[in-house]
Amino acid sequence: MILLKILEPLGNDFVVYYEAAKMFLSGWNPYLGLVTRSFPFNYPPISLLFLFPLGFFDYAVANILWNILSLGSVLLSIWLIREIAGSPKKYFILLAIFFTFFFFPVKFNLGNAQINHFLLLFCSLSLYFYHRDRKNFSALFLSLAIGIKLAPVIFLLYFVIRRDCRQIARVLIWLLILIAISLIFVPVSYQIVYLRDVLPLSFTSGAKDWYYNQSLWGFLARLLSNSPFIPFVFYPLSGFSVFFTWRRGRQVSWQRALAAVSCLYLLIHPIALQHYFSFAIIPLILLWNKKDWLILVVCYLLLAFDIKNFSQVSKELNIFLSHDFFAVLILWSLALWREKIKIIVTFYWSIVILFIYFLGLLCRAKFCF
Amino acid sequence: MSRKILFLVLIAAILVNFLGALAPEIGFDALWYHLTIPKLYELAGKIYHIPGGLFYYSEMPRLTEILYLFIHPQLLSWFFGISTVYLLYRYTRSTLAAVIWYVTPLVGWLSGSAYIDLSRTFFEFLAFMLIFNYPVLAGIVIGLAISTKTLALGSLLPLLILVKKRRLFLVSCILVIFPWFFASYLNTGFPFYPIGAGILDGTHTPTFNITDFYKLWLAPQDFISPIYLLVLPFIFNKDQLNIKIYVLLTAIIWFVTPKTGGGRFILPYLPVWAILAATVVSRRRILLFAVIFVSTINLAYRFAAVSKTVPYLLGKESKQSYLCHNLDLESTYYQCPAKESKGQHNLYYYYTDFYK
Repeated sequence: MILLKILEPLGNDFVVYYEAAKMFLSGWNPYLGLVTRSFPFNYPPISLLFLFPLGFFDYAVANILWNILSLGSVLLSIWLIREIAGSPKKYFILLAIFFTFFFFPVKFNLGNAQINHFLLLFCSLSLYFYHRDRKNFSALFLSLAIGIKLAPVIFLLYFVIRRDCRQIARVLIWLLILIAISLIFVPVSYQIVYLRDVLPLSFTSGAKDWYYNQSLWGFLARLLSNSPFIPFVFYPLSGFSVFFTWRRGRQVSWQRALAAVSCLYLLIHPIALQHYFSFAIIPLILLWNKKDWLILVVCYLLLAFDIKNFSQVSKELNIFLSHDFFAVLILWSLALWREKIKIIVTFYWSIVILFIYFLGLLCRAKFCF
Repeated sequence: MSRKILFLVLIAAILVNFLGALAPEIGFDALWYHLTIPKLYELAGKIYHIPGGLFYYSEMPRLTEILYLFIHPQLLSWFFGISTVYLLYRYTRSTLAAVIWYVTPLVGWLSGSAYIDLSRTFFEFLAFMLIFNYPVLAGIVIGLAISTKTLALGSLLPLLILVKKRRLFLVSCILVIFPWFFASYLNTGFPFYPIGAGILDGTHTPTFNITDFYKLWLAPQDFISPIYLLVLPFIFNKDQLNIKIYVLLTAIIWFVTPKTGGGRFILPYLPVWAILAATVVSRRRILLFAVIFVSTINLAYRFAAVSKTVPYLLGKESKQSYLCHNLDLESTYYQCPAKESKGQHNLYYYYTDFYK
């Protein structure tokens, strides 16, 4: 349904981008606070270079334009990832249908008029150009994605895995260039407010157990009822997963390594809301093969649906609220250990079930978490 | 190595449950009617129709309650538990299924209580074992299960599908159960009294919530074991079709019948489910570790619960003190020196005190 509405103004999140653009063009600092929101604009200053053209249009026109470009970005990303994976062109229509009409993260992105499809496009362009040996373009697009939102920095791990230090250097140089450009156009006082007041807000622990947060942290927060021990579990697990991706990524094909890195983007981000999960398109396409079709279909289905009345789900059943997390965890494992995936999935399944049972028993014995 | 561990866990569980069976009864239903009805029979010197609104379950088939006239009730429950373990071992020639079924908080609790679910379980599983080669015996045995609890009538469906000589099976079953329901009809006008008489409350109405299946294993009223849920993704193949038919049908039966008994009402089917689970587990090392982990945790949990009985069993705590500490006085009446009891439905201890 959401695809039928892209020619109408959509989404709460777009207001943030639009107001930031308008304020920026009017000479106001959006990092001090937005007009209709209780929080400030919370994207890095480079993002203003990307967003400011919105301010030249009135709200409705800008929003509709944004929606059309967002849909175009995801379609172009699917095309590029398919190209990277080497899949036949005839599959594009099929992929486009499955990743738009029936894929909640994409619909959620469009519905909220979020920015993630543009990030997906920049990352896809970066990877596409990288594998077409146009590494400067690749570095430019990745640095642009990193400049808009810090999280895509994880894709540098892919270049680390490929031992391509030059590419990392290119990305860093482009990033420095973008920062320099932003320093020319975005006043230093704005940048200081961003670094001093806004950036630290990203590291607060609020609302991480929210259903829409499908990262490892979200999963742990729901499982352990926001226990203060979560950082002590989250950071070591994130560290291990980066280490395993790096180590194992050097032994598997580049497609699998890239799929694993894409999954990390979603797993170890403390707040990876469901609209971030349009990035799961990358591993789903890269890992596609006939042998693993069942696991991939299960992952797709886990990612594609959403639970509308998530607040009605009882505490005992809240494991189901982490469906996107499980899908990406399985995809990550499939990328790195395809040969042992059945054993690994059995292991995950056992651990989760046993853990919930154990917590239930503890709770019955009056030691509730 | 893992077999030895499982065997040791099983033996430990049997011993721990035995200790639990030696303590005074504290279960609500047991004190309300499973024990009080035979006590009334004993006091009257005869088995008779108990009029009034309190013992409306006294018209249901009560084979086990009558056995309680002759045998220590909790020890009988414990015995039916280990007898089922024995049958499982005979059927599978392995301790794995027995451990999966037996080493659970639910079986542990029922082994120390005068609830009749373990005797029903024994008869139900024996009937399943006999169904393929001995239809008459299977009919008699499932008749005994129905004579223990009316809900066992539901088991006729899967057994009728599996049995080859259906008429023989049905006739032998009906001959066993007929006296109970006929007597109930004569006394109340309803063969399945209190079912159909309109006196049961809303909790006895069937509920159809698909999440009940999940909650049963992970967040139940009475904890069983997550192993049945754990093996679920691995059972979709063509092996053991008869067992799978039984498992599917009994799951449906459990789903469509009232769930007032929590996990107790699915327990009679679980020995067969455990056979299927054991087959899956035996093929996957990770799941075998899971069984060892779960059974060890369950054993520790049961041990912690039973440890409350140790002062009483050693003679360091009186029966009254034990009951005052462990009875749920919100639901069960008992006169304690320092606590007010808001409960009801406990004539068992009072008749004992009153007459002896």
